[in-house]
Parts: sequence; structure tokens; C-alpha cells
Amino acid sequence: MNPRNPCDDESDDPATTDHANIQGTTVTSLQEHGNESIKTICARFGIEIEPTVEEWGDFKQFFSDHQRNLPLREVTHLLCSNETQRRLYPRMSKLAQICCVIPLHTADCERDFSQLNFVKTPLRNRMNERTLDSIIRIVVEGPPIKEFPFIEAVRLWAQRKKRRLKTV
Amino acid sequence: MLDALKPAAEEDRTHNQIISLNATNIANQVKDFVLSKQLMFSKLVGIGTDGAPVMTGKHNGAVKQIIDFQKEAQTNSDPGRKCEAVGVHCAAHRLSLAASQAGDGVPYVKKFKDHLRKLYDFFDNSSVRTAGLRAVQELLDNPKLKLLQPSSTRWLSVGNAVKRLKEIFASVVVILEREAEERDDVIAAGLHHVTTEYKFVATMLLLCDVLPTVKRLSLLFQAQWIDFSSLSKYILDDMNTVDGAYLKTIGEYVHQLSQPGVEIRKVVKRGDTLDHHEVFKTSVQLPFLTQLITNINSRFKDDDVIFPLLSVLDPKNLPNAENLQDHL
Repeated sequence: MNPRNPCDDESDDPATTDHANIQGTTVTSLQEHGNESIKTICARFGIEIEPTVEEWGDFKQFFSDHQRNLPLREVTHLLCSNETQRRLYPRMSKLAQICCVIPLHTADCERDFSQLNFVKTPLRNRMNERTLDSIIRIVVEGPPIKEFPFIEAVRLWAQRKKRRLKTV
Repeated sequence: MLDALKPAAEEDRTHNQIISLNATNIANQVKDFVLSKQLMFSKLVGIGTDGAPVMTGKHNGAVKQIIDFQKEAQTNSDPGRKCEAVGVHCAAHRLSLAASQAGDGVPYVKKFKDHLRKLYDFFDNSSVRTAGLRAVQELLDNPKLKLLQPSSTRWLSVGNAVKRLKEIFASVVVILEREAEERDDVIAAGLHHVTTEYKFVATMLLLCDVLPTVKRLSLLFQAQWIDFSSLSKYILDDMNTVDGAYLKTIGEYVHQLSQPGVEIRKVVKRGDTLDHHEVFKTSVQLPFLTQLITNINSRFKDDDVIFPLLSVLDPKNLPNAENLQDHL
């Protein structure tokens, strides 16, 4: 698929047509459901296929019976952080972790790039790379200015070395 | 941060010197980072990019090169245990491209965006004109607001700009007319001419209907967590409504404009049998909406890795309980 002109793509990827089943538009048994997808995913990420398909069977059964209405976000959270769930479904947990890690947007990066322009201004254009890196990191990730311990900072500064303070 | 222009300081040998930002260098930087932090390539599952060709190029793109490194690093692994990362095109970028390409695909919408920018520039360049606008707003008891700047890099700015124009439209047109008459301002005359056309007003209202939906989608896509399946259906339905809330009231809107003396010209080409609204509908509204929906659908159509991954973990995709009964 050409990312520049997706509308140019006329071919029908055979892998995608299988997903009509996932959508539930065709009647599939619970046993059959999603097996092809699991195999594709395992092959792609280097996970053992057979044990995962087995685990997938149990997973489907349990969630179909007890947790049909749990949103995706909670399912992945459960699988990633709950000890029991991780032991019960080690491979589904791995899939959930992958799901959480794969980036779906670069907006966080773009926001940081935007911040760059506010830090490295025309008047500060000779700023050192490391300084720039530190400042942006603090602006983007650091706690709000309100929480900055000014008194503590001054004390640390004063302790660093002996200074002669001019008092007028 | 990669500083491509600054030569390395003497003590700073870990960073490269002046390098160009091509795919190979980007890929190498990533590879070096992975190796220096002793991360495992077998755990690299996804690479997100803004979709630029330098990143996504099939043969030489940075993503392809990074995946090549990954494969190289796993040459000694068992066949079934090799991980291959997925290249992901940022959802927000895709949406923005879908919307802007839909606009550029319809000639009048493209022109409209240009007019929008020129309108902003007209006032931005001159405090006298801005003051004039403000004076008119006082006179007509309109909201005392300025036009907003539409920009291609600030994704949601076009929607904001159109909405603002709609709110202060009457005062903008009045001041354009005055500037044209009293100061013989040719630019003002030109802008007055294009903005008082029915097509312009209709397009403005159309975008006021459609763009907020795009905005909502874009903000959703920039969130911490995206669930594609649940949002796509009802949001696209929103855009499918042929006459949105604002466009429906165009008659009233135009009528209200006549009060401060703003005449909207209903231009029809000689020999054309359709009325002005029909012309708008066939040449602007329908092509734009269909193009937009097509673009969004094709850019977000099911792929063979991400979509299955999200689907299998979502219990609502499981077959219905009734089906289970049938198969017992």
C-alpha cells in the first residue's frame, strides 16, 4: 500500500479478508474465532504459535463467559499487571504488552519538537546540544514550576563553594 | 536530540559530526542507541513515524533499514522466534493528510483555503485595517474578535479559522467593502468579491459542520490510548450526514447578513440549469464529503498486524453467545 496515495491501491490483501470473521459479520464458532489472526501475530513477533493458540482458546472461553463487556484498555491492563492473569495467560500477556507498546501516533514527539522552538530561540541559537536536551526534558517531563524547591536550590548552590557575596 | 549542523566539541566524541538527515543516518543513530543501551532487537515490536518518504520508503527508508538491523541481530535465533517490527504511520498525521488531501482534491475548497489565508493576511499586515474591523464590529454590535490564522502545520487551525470567520463574517465583509470604496484598495475589493459569493458562504458553513468532527478525531488519535474500532463507526456516520446543522440554516444565515447590508450574490454560469445551491452541492459539497470519507477509510483500513492485534484482545469481538449454542 502506497502511503502517499492509498486510494491508488486496488489490490485485495488476502490477509485482510479474513477479518470479516473477526468483525462478527460471518458466523464463526468460538473455537475458530481469531485463530488465523493469532497465528499471523505470533509469526510476526516471534512467539511460539502452538502454545499461544491453546492459551487463546482458554482466553476466549473465559472472556466470553465472564468478561464480555470489559473494554480493550482494561483487558490489556489486566493482562499486563495482574500476577494471576500473567501466570494463567503468559502469552496473551505478551500480546497485551506488545499492544501497549506499539506507537499509534507520533504526537508526543511532535509536541516535543514544537517545544524545541520555544527553548532554542533566535537569541539562544548557540545553545549546546546537551543543554538543549536537558531543558526540553525538564519542560516536557518535569514537575510543574510550582513544585520547584527554590529554597533548597539556593541552599545547594550556596554549599557548593565559598562565595563572596557583595552586599551593597 | 540529533544536532546535524553543529560540529562535535572535542570532548564529545560519542556524538557524530556534521551529518545529513538521510534514512541511513537516521537508521544508524537508532541502531547505535539500541546497542549502546544494550536493548534487545528481538523486543523491537513497533516503529512509529510521521509517514515521510525518508522514513517509510520501501527500499531505502529508515524503517526498512532498522528492520534490516533487527533481522541481522537475530540471524542466530530459531526461525519461529524472530521478531519483526511493525512500521506505523502516525494516526494523527494520516487523518490530517486525509482531510487536507480531500480539500485539495476539490478545486473550490482549495481556493477557499487560499482565500481564508489571504483574508487573515489582509488584517494581520495592518493595524489600521484591524482597527477598522473593530470599529465596524462596534457599530454592528458584532463579537469583537479577530480572524484566526489557518496554517498547514497546525493541524486543527483551519477548522478554528473557519469557525471564527463564520462568527464575524458580517463585519469582515462590511469592512472589506469600505476599504475598497474609501481607500480604493484593490485587494479589499477582490476579497469582498469572493466572500460575497453564495459558494463561499456555503463552503464556509460546510466546513463548520465537518471540521469539528475531524478535530475530535484528531484529538482522540493523540490520546494516551486509542481504540480504533469503537470510534470509527459513529464518527464517520457524523460526517455522512449530507446537510450538517450549519449548512441546513444557510437560508437564514444569508438573510441575517442582509440586515447590515451584506448582499450575497447567487452566481450561476450562463446556460446552467441548476440553481446556485445545487451547483454548490454537486461541485463542492458532495465531492468533498465523499473524498474525505474515502480518504479516511482507505488510510485506516484494516491492516494485517495492528488491527488483528487490537481485535483479538477485545472481548466485544467474540462471537455471540447464541452462536456458541449452535455449535455445541
